[in-house]
Amino acid sequence: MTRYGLLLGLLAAACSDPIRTRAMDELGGEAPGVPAGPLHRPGQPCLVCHGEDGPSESRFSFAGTIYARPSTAEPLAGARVRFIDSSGAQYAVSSNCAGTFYVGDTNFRPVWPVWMKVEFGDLTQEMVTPSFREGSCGACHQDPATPTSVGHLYVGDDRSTFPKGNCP
Amino acid sequence: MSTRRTLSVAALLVAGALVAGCEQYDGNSTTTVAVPPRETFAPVAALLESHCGTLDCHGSPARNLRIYGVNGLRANGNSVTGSPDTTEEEVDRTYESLVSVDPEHLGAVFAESGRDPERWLVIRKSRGTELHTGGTPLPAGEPGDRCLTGWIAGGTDGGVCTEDDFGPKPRAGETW
Repeated sequence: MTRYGLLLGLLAAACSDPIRTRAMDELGGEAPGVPAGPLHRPGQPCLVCHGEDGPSESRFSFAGTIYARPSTAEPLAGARVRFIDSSGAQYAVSSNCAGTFYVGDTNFRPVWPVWMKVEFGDLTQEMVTPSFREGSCGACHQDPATPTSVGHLYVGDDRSTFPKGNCP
Repeated sequence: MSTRRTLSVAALLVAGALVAGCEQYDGNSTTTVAVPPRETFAPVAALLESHCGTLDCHGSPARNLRIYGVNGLRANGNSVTGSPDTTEEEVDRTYESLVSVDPEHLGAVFAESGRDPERWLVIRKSRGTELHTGGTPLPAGEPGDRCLTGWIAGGTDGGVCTEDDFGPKPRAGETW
């Protein structure tokens, strides 16, 4: 019996993905007062958990957080995030009060690469390059901008004015 | 011959081959391979930047083949993704990375003026004829493919590289 238990333990350990486990560990814990759900973990690479092989029950093909301006981390609610894949199929979704948007993997299964843009009123920001495989915006759009990161997603410039958010 | 004896002989043969293989390895030997020149590489680098060099693909420092540029991986720690524009140093780094992939086959294709370019791993990957997580970024015969294969054939005219039309293409009746 002990031998079987040991064998099962070894098999379970072998099945875990150490890269994903480390990526999840690096995300840290939940912010105080923000339960797991649509408003949690803004700006983080969502598909670490919500990707195809992730531990979460809700699976996304894309997810991320939109901010109002380049130099501040003020989330932008009501931004329209649009996608077009290499077959020409399009999809759109809006950001919530935390600035976060997500696309269920059964709603839009893109043919890579995928081009994206964000719209808010008369403002539009279109990505210069498409995504070839990455559905987590936060994987490439981390703050601060570095030689391997472009910084957070934003719609306006530092003079733009936006309605105040009303997240609980 | 019994099965046991057959296995013993086979094991001895394998062991002998392994020993011989180790003895013949010369860590100091070098092979010189002529590859396409850096001087004609700039338009090819620009093509690779957009088709292959995004942060989620070969613009990641985790890749063996690294493509450097303004919208992906930066060579200089003072630059950030997005600004300033691609530098000559980055074109150099992309060149060095590219010609270091499967250099013997690249050299063979170059020496024969581009004959049978799929001998080079990069062409098989870019055409999608070999498993490639990034799909088929440069389909055979398209301007991007002709840009890359023209360069490895020794071509000096990068004009076809600028014919490449890479971007979102909405379906008939739709806008983007």
